[in-house]
Amino acid sequence: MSLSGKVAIVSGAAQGLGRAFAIRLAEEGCAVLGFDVKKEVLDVPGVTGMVADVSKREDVESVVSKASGMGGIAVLVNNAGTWRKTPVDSPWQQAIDDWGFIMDTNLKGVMMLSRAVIPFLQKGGGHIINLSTYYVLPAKSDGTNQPDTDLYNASKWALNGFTDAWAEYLEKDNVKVNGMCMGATDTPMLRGLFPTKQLPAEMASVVMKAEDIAGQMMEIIASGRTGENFGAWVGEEITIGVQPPLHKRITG
Amino acid sequence: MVKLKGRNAIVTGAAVGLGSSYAKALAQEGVNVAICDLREEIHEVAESLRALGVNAVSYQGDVSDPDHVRTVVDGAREEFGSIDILVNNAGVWGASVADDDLDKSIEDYEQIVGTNLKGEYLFGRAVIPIMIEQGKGGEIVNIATDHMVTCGTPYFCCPNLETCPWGDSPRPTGGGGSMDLYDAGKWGLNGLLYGWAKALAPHNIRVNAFCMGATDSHMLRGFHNFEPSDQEVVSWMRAEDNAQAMIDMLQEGPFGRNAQNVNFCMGRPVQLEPAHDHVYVVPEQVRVGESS
Repeated sequence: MSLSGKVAIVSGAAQGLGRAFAIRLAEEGCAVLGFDVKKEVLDVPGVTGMVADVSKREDVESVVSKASGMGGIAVLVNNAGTWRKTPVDSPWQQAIDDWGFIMDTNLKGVMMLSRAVIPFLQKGGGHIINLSTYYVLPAKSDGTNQPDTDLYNASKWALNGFTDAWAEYLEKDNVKVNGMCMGATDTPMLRGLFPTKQLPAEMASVVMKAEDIAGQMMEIIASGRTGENFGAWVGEEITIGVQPPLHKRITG
Repeated sequence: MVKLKGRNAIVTGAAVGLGSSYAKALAQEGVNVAICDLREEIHEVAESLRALGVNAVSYQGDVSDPDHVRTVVDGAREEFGSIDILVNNAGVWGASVADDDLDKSIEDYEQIVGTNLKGEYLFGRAVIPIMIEQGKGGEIVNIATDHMVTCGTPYFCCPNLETCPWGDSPRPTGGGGSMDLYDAGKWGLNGLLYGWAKALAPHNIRVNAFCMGATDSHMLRGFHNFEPSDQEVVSWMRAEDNAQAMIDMLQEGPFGRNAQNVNFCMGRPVQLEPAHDHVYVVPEQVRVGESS
């Protein structure tokens, strides 16, 4: 399916991976609507920017309304995500607030945006990409990232449920659904983990580049495969490889 | 094998099905049990537990409501003096599909993810500081689903993989197209499982999960409009057998398995499978995107 002239929606497009995805899709000929809570999304070259919050229903509906006015929607990239430490022994009120902070964006936001977009994708087929983390793939992970990130990890693990179920349900509509399970990529989110907001030298030399990950996304879309989690690991070739057997498509 | 007698447990969703079986099995071992459920029958279950000679208290409410969670946990601590075991069992199922409208979807999210993931999160986060402060270890067990595992060739290294009689019939993950929110909530439990186990190991608090396949329960009978055929019922696992496996795992004590999804798949014996050496080990280090 050619993407030329089709509409693509990218959440969290102001910076990092989302920005790279939006720019790449525009280069491929898509009319791209990128949105973000950060106003820098208005300055992404070749992309129609919009300030909107994926965790807010009204914003989601505005985004989809605007996108549908741009043409036939064929791509949704669920990239927006938020992160903060959530220590297991936090005070009670903090634990309650953390749930909303992480889950409203990383899980409920993905659901709301997808629910609003899917009826448009069903019209002519299309692609959904859910951005996840390599912690959800067994081979090189113990299932967590840093200490004190139970909710972030839960939000990303949970996306497996969406990728699995949507791929199966939307097969009849020729809508492909896949997850991208990211290792360390040079993004503001990663830089933000360090006190100086700069990557340590030994890390800076090995982390993946957002542009290369955008290339992997285009490979996934072109492959026509569905219901898979695709990994990307530091220090290894960024590719989609050969399709694994059915029972390993989500878990690796 | 450690003795459970005299310990204190919380079991959520204990009015029916697996939850009531867990509570009963714990009481039979001499464990005091605080139980909660949406259903008012929870109070009758508490009555039946007391008849087994233990202290039991019951609370009716919704596990996705932080105030209810606080009430149960604080009430249990006040009644028993300590909390040693948490069985995060409460769960609901409802059909939800990719093209449901937003109104239904948001309602479903609050109910299904709210119960199955937020409820377990809240109970864990309420109990964890108490267990840490008590300084005598603890047990947390989350109840998940076999939709997360590929029975036959589990993605965890099965010690008996070479001889596994189910090895020739691996199944894909997932519960199908109409379970997106149910499966999302249950997959999300892995984040709690691994995050908590890692953080709590220094405190001798174990965290494990039971990944449940079809078990004769209120929920499963509900799928079949409460009129399952005899053939179906015979094929299902029995909640009492699973409750025994729960007791077996708790009796492993602080040096037993940790951070593990224990699989219970229909057609396999309902018993505690051997502990895996590692959380994540795949024999040939197969990764998504590589041929296997």
